[in-house]
Amino acid sequence: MAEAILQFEDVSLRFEDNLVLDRVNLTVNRGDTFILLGAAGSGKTVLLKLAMSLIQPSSGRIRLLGHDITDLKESELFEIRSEVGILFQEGGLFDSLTIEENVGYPLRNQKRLRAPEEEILTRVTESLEFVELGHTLDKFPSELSGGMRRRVGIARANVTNPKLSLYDSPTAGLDPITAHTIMSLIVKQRDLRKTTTVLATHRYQDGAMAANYQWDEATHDVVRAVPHGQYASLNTSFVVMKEGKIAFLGEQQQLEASRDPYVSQFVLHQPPPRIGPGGDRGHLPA
Amino acid sequence: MLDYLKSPVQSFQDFLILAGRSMRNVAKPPIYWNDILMQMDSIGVGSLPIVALIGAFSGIVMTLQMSRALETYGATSQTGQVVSISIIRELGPVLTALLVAGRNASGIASELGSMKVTEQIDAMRALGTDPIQKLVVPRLVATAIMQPLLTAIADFVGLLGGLIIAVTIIGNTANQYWSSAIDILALNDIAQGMTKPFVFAIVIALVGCFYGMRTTGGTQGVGLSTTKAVVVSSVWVFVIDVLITQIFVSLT
Repeated sequence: MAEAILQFEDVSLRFEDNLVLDRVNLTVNRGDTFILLGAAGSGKTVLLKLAMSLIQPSSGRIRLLGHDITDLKESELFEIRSEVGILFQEGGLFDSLTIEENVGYPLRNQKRLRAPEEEILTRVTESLEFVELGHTLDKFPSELSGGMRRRVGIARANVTNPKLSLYDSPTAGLDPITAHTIMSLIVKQRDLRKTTTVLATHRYQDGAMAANYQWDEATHDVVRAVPHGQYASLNTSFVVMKEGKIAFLGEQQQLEASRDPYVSQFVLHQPPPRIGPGGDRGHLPA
Repeated sequence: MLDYLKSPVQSFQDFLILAGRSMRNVAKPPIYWNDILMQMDSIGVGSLPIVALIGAFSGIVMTLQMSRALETYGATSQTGQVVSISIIRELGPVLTALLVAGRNASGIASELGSMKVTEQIDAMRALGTDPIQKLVVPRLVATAIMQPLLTAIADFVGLLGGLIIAVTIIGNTANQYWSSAIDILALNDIAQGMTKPFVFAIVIALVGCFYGMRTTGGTQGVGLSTTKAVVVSSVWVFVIDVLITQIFVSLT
């Protein structure tokens, strides 16, 4: 049986009178890639923050790497969090620290990961070279472009070799070329370091790329795992969030076959055609 | 009515939780000495010129005003006493606190608020640092150390300002002014004058951190938090001033 890395059991979150998440059930197994699609405010970001216990749910249980983190104290969470990498929507880079200090931050501050300074520098340099930004060590975040800051964020999220990587809208607001580069790096991290990945995005292309492309060391680029027109089986699941609920959970093929007016908009970028006969449409939780 | 009260009561409860956690963390490792020193420099040394300036002016104005009143009774030689008591007990601590509230509670709230809206505080938590330990405690400790020192400087400069006016305009001798100013001071006055800035500092730093860390809504939210931090901490300075003054008055 596959090992569950992250589990949401009937998780709800309420901010004052607003129900932000409504009884979400989700299991991410080791090696899985989960793509969270959804409109702004549909609950993607809070789902990722709940996964690291940066916010507490109003009800339900969350299990991360085998620990029930729902009621843990902040001090007890640090060790568990050290096995998870996260890229925040706003980047979350510390603007008063250099890129080297930003990427090295978890290695200097997480008890479990503390290492001699030379080793930290080596790992930071490696991680920055992984995102092709090895030359930016002494720069500050404000000196980098938006795309470069995201790449630094990816380097920082993955410098600890996490078991689970969470990416919150990594391509939001970027041009298509930079967005492609960012997604390539996420696929590279997933494939080379075998990291379980949860990716929140509103761009279907990002999900399609994670589902069908893999890293090729020979060409040093991502390549399609299967020919065009076919669906690869890279353990990728799609979740479509709508107003705090899971509106769809299934594979890419099922997502593309869905005739749900909300769900299909993420694939088609327009309202769906008239409902035709047949086709597995994924399951719609009650 | 109950609904109307819910939000302020909830906020006050959140403030007390933050205050409790911060106090508990003051002596708990890791202690970020570099951050404490940086904040002491920013809050203390940074505020020094304006605090000295306002201290001097308050001494000058007090002396001018008091000398007129004392002249009626032919007691201008007692100017030093009145000025000294007013500055050490009230004007020094309160004016310094209002300046620190305006300058530093706003600075703290806007800095932490910007960090909050750009997810730097979440990032800190995700990457193994407790923001209370790293951000709140250094600001709290630095303000609590620097504010009594700033107040002492403001008091001294205020007395010097008074001295200049007493000698040049009122016609006191320097010795007359200075000895009457110092002789009147009792231990109670000094204790009051140093207790107030210490308590004000704790409130100012915590209010600044509290509003900074609960900022929402982007840059507009940062502006709102900054304004709230200054207004609320200034009001608390006056409320606490009354309470401490009453305690010391009842002790004499």
